[in-house]
Amino acid sequence: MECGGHGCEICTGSSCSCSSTGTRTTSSSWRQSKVCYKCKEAPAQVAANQTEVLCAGCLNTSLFSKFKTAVNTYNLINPSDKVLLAFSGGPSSRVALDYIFEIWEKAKQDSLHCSEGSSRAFSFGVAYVDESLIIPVHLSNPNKHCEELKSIVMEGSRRPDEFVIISIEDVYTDAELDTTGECCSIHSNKLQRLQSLFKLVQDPTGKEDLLEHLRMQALQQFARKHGYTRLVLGLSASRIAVKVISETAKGCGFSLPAGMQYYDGRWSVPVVLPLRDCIAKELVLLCHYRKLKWVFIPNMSTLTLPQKSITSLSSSFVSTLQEDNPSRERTIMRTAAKLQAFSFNHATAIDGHSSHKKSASVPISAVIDEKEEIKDELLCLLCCAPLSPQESVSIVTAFQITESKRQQNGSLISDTKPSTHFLEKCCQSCQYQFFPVEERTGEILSILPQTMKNSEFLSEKVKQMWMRSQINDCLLINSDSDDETVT
Amino acid sequence: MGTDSVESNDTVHLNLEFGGGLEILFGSIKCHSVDIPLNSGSEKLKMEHLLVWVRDNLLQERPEFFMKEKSVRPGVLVLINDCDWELCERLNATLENNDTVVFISTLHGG
Repeated sequence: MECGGHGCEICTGSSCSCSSTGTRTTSSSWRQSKVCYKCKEAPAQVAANQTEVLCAGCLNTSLFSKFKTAVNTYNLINPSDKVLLAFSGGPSSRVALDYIFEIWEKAKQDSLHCSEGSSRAFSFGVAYVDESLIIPVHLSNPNKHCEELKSIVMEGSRRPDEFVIISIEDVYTDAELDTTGECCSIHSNKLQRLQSLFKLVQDPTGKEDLLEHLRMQALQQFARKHGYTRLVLGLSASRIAVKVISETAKGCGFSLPAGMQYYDGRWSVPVVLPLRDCIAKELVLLCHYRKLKWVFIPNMSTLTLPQKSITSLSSSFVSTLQEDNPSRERTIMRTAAKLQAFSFNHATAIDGHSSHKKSASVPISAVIDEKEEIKDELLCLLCCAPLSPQESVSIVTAFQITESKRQQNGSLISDTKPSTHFLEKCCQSCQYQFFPVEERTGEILSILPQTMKNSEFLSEKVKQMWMRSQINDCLLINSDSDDETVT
Repeated sequence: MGTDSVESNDTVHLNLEFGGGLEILFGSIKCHSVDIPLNSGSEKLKMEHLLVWVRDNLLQERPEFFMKEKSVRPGVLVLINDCDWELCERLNATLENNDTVVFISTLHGG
């Protein structure tokens, strides 16, 4: 297996990341009893699932094949794309980094051999979101972690176009720090504001989810600002299985399919998951065998008991199931994958490239189908989860009441509190997690980042839905063509 | 913890590695070179005994994050000489001199 740097079946392409550390001989009988299920030659090293035992080389081939299949089948990365990899330092995103390097090199070689203008390689950048502000001080060592990450990404033989470190507090823009309007005067800078926000959200699950939402907002802001067209996450089947359990426990079953598809177009910069079919064990072991260095960076749940949050409990639960039966994570994911995906999970091919009509900076998505009919889902202002039919009806009903009062009173001023207006546009899970106490809603609202409070487009869509409901009785449905005609 | 590697019939010399965050429980040290004393009457060292020894002699805090009952906590991968311990009889796997045992947590993936 050790190739001494001369290349071996473990390594893909031209780069070899194996190092010879001396022969490890084994003599006990169990160590030589199984051969790889795929190649039938090399000794088996990994129990990939219940029936397959693989050598390190075939494990790599299997995972890379899954990655390429996902990218090619679902057009996750196209030649015209500018791709940003969200790099957490963990094994999944480390493998994603390596595999993107592989397809990037191949794309660049192909573009050199093609006639001028007919083919080009995508652009590739890497971003790390520094959340050290939120992590307990005794676990956090941001300078050391950032240096390690930079050395992994930029100091090898291959490097992306850029590597950036995004501070989580930059989710607040400079403009919104001015203490005007609703902003409370005591919150004068980004650090204070973020720390105050996390102190106000007391539920441990809420804190973890809030951090996840802020992380995505920070990545989206950066990607949007720098012209990226794809955001790659190293989300594995294992993490998705945990999300299935935790989201179900939190009452988010309706929106569950949204975040687990290969393509998620509800964001300004579509999110793609090319490692969706790979389980964490395989990715961790691949990093070990290929000597792919990764960095463990503590998070909010490090050294905390699982009972502290729904996510931790779900993770612990799934791990226990996986111990019992190594195919459990895939089974959970495949079962959940049978739920119908949303319209924004299907990228429409236009002019040979996947494209998706997007609003600029707000959580409303639209896709153009063959009949050029716009389909919309209403999305929660905070977490961008699609709102369930009941939640959507509530928003439209609230809008109707407001409109009625306005028409009666002839006034544009609503007597409903701004905080109530905001809560109406959030899913029930966010309302429960972040705003369980009504008295604190205004306080939390005042220090939320502006990007999570922008409800202009949502309000416009709600208005359209309300108007449609007003004329619904006048619409005729043609049973032959399903076109609706106003009579 | 690490001692010189003078071999003895009563000890087994092993190279232990902890990763994926587990090193926090072991003084933030990833690699440990150790000599495990054999139980009286035992000729071979088994994984089961190694885990107990590691918990009692190397672990500095929070044993519940490393072990659950007699085995490792779910989510912790174990490699014996680069081989998944699922193929190696797990707790009954026999360890020999200069073997390398790697423990990696998958709980903080990503």
